[in-house]
Amino acid sequence: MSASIPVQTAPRVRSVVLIGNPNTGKSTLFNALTGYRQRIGNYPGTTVERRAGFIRTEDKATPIEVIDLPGAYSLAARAADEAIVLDALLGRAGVDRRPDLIVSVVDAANLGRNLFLSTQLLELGVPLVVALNMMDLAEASGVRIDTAALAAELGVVVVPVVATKQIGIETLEKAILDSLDAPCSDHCPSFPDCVCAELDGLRNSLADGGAGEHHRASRIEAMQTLLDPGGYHESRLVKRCGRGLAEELAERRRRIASAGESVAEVEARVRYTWIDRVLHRVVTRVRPRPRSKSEAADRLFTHRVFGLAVFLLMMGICFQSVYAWAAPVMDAIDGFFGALGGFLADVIPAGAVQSLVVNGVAAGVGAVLTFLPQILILFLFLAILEDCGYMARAAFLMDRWMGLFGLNGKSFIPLLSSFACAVPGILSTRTIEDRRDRFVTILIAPLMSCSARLPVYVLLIGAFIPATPLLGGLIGLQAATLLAMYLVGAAVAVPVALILKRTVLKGPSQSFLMELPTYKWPSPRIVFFRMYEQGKAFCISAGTLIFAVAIVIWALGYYPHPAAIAAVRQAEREAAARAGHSDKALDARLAEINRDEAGEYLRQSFLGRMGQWIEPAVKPLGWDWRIGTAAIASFPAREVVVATMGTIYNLGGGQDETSAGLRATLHAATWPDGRPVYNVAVVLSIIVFFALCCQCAATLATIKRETKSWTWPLLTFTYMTALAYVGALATYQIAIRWV
Amino acid sequence: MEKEAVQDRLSSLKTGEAAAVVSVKAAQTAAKRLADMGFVRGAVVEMIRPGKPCLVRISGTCVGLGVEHQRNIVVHRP
Repeated sequence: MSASIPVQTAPRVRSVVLIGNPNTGKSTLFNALTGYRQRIGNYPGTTVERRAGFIRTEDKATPIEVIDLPGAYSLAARAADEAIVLDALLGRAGVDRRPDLIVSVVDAANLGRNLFLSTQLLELGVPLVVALNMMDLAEASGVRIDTAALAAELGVVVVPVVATKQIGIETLEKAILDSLDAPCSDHCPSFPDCVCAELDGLRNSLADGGAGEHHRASRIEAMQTLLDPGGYHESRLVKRCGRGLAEELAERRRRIASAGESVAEVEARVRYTWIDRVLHRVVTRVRPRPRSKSEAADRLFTHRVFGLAVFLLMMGICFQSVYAWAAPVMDAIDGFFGALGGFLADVIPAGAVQSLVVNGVAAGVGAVLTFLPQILILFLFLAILEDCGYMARAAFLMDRWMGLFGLNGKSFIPLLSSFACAVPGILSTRTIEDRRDRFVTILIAPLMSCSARLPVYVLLIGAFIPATPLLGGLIGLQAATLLAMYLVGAAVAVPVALILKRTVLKGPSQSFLMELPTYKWPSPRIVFFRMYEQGKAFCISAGTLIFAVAIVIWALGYYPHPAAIAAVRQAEREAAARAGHSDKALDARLAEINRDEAGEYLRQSFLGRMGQWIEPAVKPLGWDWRIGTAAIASFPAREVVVATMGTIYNLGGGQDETSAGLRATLHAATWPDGRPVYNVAVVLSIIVFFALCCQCAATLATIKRETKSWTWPLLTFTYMTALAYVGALATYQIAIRWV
Repeated sequence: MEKEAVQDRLSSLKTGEAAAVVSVKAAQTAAKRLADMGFVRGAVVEMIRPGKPCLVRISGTCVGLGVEHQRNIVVHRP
């Protein structure tokens, strides 16, 4: 597009899409093709992730952009992310232009089911290349696939690859280049006459009726509209063309049914019959199917007693290691920020700037960054479980228990991911087809204890709950308390979901239907990549949002900083100096004066006045005004509460020069009458509040985007805040009498 | 009556037992989903683990099925 060379236009970017069933190694292949040089964005108007990157071609004249589409079993769309697939393939709804080529990623070990989507893709009128992935697994299972014969049957190039081992990638790249302008295959199954007649009729009437489409509705689009009653394509077209189309579709379906065909089944049956015939010619079994390790593993993992025990054990190990492994790294980070604060205090002259840097930034941001190790460990566990295929087993196992929620096992994966972070959890509800089930899952997802709550739990539990060993040292009281916090959210979610299912989101529960993919070793690159992305997101939020909140809280807690206080305390200092104390006593007296001075500044600050104003509301929870203020200030993100406490207590002079960190500071905090603020009951009340509240702007924004309405985020925030207050109140009132 | 004896619901299959799908008697939405996953007339289903939900093999893949789906799929034992 350079203006200086008008004759030569910039090379035209060719676009290639990767499409395949879930769990076909599509993303691994995408990474192998693009070498992690990816741009990650969203499809317009949605939160569906759009990954794009460039193939590393020798031929610089034809840059080839590869787009990784969400996994789909069929072009008939029900779930939100499936809808994107056909939109992207047809280049409509502002998604993209039509791709120049489709790479259909097919799991060779699972050829029959995977070819279903490929036969649909053959009819799109776009050049197609089949990447036959996981050839190694297919061979290990004792089958030989004649790729040349398969290519002849499908009429397209078929490239065997093993994406995880980077085998066949170059051949695939070459095939992509060669096929870009190749003619489309005309091999595809033929449908019964009654279906073909209705399809042609529908296409004609869409073209005549001015559906407002720029292109004539393709045959495959007409098929997905006609043969998928109530699906995405039907509702989309009916919205455009009016009720007349709905009646026309009903009439055409009636005619197909009266010809003796089942509308819902005919497409699948024709395609599977065609595929069976292809497989018969292409696949030969060289050895009897060995007893697969995957099945042997499933004998244990999907057992309704042992499987559950294994699941609980894994979760136990996960939480225990989050606690144990992270501790040394945490202490190091904590120490670093303490030392940094001390150093900065020495370098910067006393005053507002020193206070801002030391008390606002170093104490606030440092307090949050301390929790990076835990978050990384938690994501490590979840990424491994997801990548090896265990998550689907967990969903299977939990199906009967999810019945308690009025949901099915599919909702379990979003809920489990929400233990790391509700945002990806809410995004992963897109695989749930039923709208009501999906909304209920979205609304209870923020009740799962996410990693942002971890800082609050770890700080307070570590500081105030004794490390008594339980069950013969198997688990400590601290880890048990942590586990209990994780269970509280999940337990409360049950009645909440049931109430939602019976009121605002009333509807029948949908039966479970889910593929359980073959187990595989988790790919270290994918696991690492996921940890890295989450860690980065956390650091960015610590560097921006939390940084900003820390500064605001510092400013509210520092100003107006009246000079009168300094004058009074200066007089006291001079009086102490004249009183003829011993050196030691004088030091103690001066330290006391300094603390009182800092405390008085804080009480007189804007933050202090605000806090004292709300104190009556939080006092029944056992909180002092500082905790109440920290809780309110943490509205944008829960983890901010730790930063806020760090800032508030630092400003209040709770920390001495040799900072032993926030924990020691909290221990030293007292009510005006000298009683310590924190005890076990107060700590439990705070963590229960944070377990149940929805102090997370990102979650609320995600709910808004996914539900396309403000109703649901507002409902979520209201019900969770009410639950949190009542929960904290009950906890404190019970614990203060018991503990 | 004799025909009834060999046609049964998927939920009646025992571990390791295989049968052919005869029909899927579900609402169209569910029927379409099941069909796309491979539950079409003539397809062979093998029960891996009966239960609620059950685990079956269909077109080479392990699929978990909830109670209702198991009841709605009519199969024919060979």
